[in-house]
Amino acid sequence: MNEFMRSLALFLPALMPSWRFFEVIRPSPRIEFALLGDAEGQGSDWRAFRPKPKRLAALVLLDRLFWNPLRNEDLYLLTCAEKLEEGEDAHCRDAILRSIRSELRSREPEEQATLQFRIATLRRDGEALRREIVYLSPPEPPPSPDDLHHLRKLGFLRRQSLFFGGIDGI
Amino acid sequence: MIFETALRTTEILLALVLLLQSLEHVVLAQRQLYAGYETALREEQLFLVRGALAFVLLLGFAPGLVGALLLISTAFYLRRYAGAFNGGADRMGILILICLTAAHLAPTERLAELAFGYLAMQLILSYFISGWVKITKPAWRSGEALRDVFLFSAYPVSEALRGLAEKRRLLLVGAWAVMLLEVLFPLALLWRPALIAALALTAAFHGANALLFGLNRFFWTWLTAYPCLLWLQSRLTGAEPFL
Repeated sequence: MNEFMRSLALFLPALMPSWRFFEVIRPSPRIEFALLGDAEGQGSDWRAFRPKPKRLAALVLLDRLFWNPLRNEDLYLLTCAEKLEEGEDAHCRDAILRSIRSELRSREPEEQATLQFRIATLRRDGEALRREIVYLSPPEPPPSPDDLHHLRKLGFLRRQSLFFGGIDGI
Repeated sequence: MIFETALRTTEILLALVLLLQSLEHVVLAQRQLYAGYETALREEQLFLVRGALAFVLLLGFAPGLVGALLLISTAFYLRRYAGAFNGGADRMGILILICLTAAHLAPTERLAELAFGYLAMQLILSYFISGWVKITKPAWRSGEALRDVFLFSAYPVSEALRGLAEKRRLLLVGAWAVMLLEVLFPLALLWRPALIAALALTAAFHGANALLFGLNRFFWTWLTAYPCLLWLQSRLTGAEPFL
């Protein structure tokens, strides 16, 4: 019964939405990550996760009007980052770590380092932009070789997307 | 627009929206599987089922039953992401699905119209409330809020767009254009040409958000709800439905 009520409660924001879009422009989170030598280390070489390109061609913009999975994932991660700003949230932390790890694996298949991420916020203070680190995740070790071997045996580690040419292609 | 046409048009558009979204989620799940996260398999399966149901909805078979099954799968989807994946866009999609399913399963035509009318009312509110909360804020009236969106928010899809933050006059005009369009939107219901024009402008607004901020789901989902307004206006004003 509790599970049912919890599921029903998740529908309420859709049934009675608030529609208060962009009411206030809050400090904006940015996700950064670092690869660590071991699980005990602390990140030092921080990189932005999926930094925005300098420019996007008009055709790319039009394409993204229809097909936009990574950008839609970015928007979801933005929500997760905002929740982590307010307090520890295992679900949101896990979502961000999985996305970073997936991105790394798609670009560097052999990458197996321990991963850590942080959230920095940007806000305007007068005419200057201020940056502040508001969250630091615990280090996450990579999936064990046994887990990857198990998944490979079951055929779940496939490079080809079900519908499209390659995972990198999205 | 007559009721049955509006309902079916919304159904087709929603089916296409859900089909495309499901494909996106399948690809995202496959990325996570490749990274070694076995639980992504459940996600992949969930969205393959949703995609299949969306395809059946597109064909028009048993829309009430299919809608109910989609709602059950939505419960799993909401649990998986602890809420809507894409915020307001996906919440509107779920609302459309709820109202469509209720309209199909309603025992009387009056109740079916009430369900669809609820969607129309929420669509109007989505513009009016959004406009109202902006027009009552000094930061929006001065254009500073829109400037901040381009200056430091995570929304612009490229760094080059941040340069728009320096075009203050343009942003002031843009902010007021959006606020007035949203706040005055309910008045468009009084006259058919005004409603058509208002819907064209709001579609352009959503299109701009899709191109500038990557909010493509908002564009397609809001357009999906437009037929209910065309029907509601015919219903309330007695105007001749043109479809």
